[in-house]
Amino acid sequence: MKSKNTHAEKNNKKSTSRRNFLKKGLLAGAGTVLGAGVVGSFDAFAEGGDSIKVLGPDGKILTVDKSHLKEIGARTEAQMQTEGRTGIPGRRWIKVIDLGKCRNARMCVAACQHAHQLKPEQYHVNVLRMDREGETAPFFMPKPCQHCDDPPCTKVCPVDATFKRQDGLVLIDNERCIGCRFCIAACPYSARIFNWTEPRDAEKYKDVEYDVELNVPQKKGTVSKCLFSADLLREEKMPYCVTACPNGVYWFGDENENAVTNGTTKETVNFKKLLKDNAAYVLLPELGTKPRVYYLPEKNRLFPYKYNGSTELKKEHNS
Amino acid sequence: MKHILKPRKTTFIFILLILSFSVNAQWNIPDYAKNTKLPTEPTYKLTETGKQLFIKNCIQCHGLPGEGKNNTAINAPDLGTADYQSKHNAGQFYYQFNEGMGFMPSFKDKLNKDDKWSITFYVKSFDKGFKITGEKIKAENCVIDFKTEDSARTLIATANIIDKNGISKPAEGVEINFFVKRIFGNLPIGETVITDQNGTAVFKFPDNIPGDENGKIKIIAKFKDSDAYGTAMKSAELNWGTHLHFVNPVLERTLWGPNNRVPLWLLLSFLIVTGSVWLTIFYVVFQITQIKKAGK
Ligand code: SF4
Ligand code: SF4
Repeated sequence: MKSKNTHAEKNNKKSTSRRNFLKKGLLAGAGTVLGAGVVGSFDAFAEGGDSIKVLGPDGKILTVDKSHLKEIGARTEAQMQTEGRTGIPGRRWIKVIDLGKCRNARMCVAACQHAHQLKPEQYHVNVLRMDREGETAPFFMPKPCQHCDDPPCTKVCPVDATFKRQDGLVLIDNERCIGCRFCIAACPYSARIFNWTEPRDAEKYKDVEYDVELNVPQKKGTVSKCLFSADLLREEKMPYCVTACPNGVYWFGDENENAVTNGTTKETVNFKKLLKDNAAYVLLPELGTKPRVYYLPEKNRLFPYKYNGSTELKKEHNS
Repeated sequence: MKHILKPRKTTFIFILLILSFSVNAQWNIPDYAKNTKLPTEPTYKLTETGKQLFIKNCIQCHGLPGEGKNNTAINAPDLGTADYQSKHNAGQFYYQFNEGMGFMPSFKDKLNKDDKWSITFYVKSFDKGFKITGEKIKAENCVIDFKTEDSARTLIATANIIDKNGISKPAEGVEINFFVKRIFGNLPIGETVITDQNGTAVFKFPDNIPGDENGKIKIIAKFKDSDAYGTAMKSAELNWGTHLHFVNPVLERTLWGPNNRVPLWLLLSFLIVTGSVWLTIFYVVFQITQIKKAGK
């Protein structure tokens, strides 16, 4: 977790956001209508000997020496937008969560909040304490977005801001989101959060280029949720939460390859066999959302929940 | 299912409570544990099995013995230190590991007896006074290779040991595992094969392993006993996998499809219906103004 650079450090350079660009575009359009001085500016882009005129980040035209120009390796925002919308061909990402191993270490939560510029009270993945009825024992359950194959959330979005990709991920474009929160209401898993206030370290992330696969920088008044760390998957790395877990709770992989790898032990196993041997299930299957997150039951627990020395729910409530 | 989405803020406090409990608790190992008779002779082979089990079950908190990567926050000791080893003989270690205490889970029902003893032998192998029998092969002297037979999808693996004079001789009775490369790791496939006196072993490749669009797949052979025989490996790309038929779900007709996937007839009927409703409204309003005009 420590070794991973935040998006801010990786991509810390001045840029114009899409909104600013649109604003400028509108101004330029107005300028054309007014018709004054615009024609003259065209030759500003023409080459002149060894120096070249370029449009600076703040909209001013600068003259620079040709030899100073070089190609930038980082992906542009437009690139991130198109790639982020289409997804990684040939993949179908899948996550398996082993409830028998979770002991509420909350490392996944911390790693996720660190990566996605979230405040401590904002969760893409949260670890919930589960209380069922009667004599049953409580346990802990990490709950990310289920990346449903039939997602109710994307159906209700009026502006196509939240969408499903070919590799199975459901993402949000914060630059498009109008904050209507229909999707929050539609999601049966309460996976989505709303940025009611300015996000954490808003100042620090101010100039960072928006990455739709990371939802960073977060924007006030828009929705965010678990992205299965789409930015890491592009680099063939496992999600932040998966590798952060110290207890081997998470398995992650590609359904097309029929294999999942444990984030802690790095052991790779047959995905379908893992589900079959352990009686895996999905949350709220009756809704037909077809989740892409599978749960292994809380059997053979290595870390039973204990309170006052008891592992039973009833005793705790009576004491 | 109502409770599913109910977070508890008090969880953290509970964790702290548990933590303080386990920190204060003391191991209470009964005297008889010290005199436990070992069920079998500890061998290098058993310690190797123990190591693999240790990596699966114990490494998360204790780290590998002697490496000091143990989790001190929950008081999990490094099991390889001379201090730990001198205070716990095999029987005492077995007791601790079987019963558990505080954060240390009990493995009584989680592993069978043989496995638990293998782990015990592995941990005790870090005690210089602990005697282990059996043959130990020098890891760096082994090489692995395999040939492929396309028609029968068979892999013929060979293992050789190179002796002091640089002469290679076949290694008998060596266990070899096969893997396929997956995006985040290597997936073991099929059973372990054991080499015969010629140092060769035959492996039948299963025919249900998914490959890419062309069925291409990367196959890797490794020694099972990596501590004894080393990490030598051999890999090859073959098209023995099943072909991937990728259907882009976004291009299918779905209710969650994006705007540009709207069927034309649906779009047209929508526009016609909404258009006619608005036209009717405009017409009515227009007529009302006409009536008003006519009344003047
Ligand atoms: S869990 Fe919720 S947010 Fe995630 S895809 Fe399903 S409906 Fe959408
Ligand atoms: S809140 Fe944003 S993402 Fe959600 S439905 Fe509204 S516009 Fe779409």
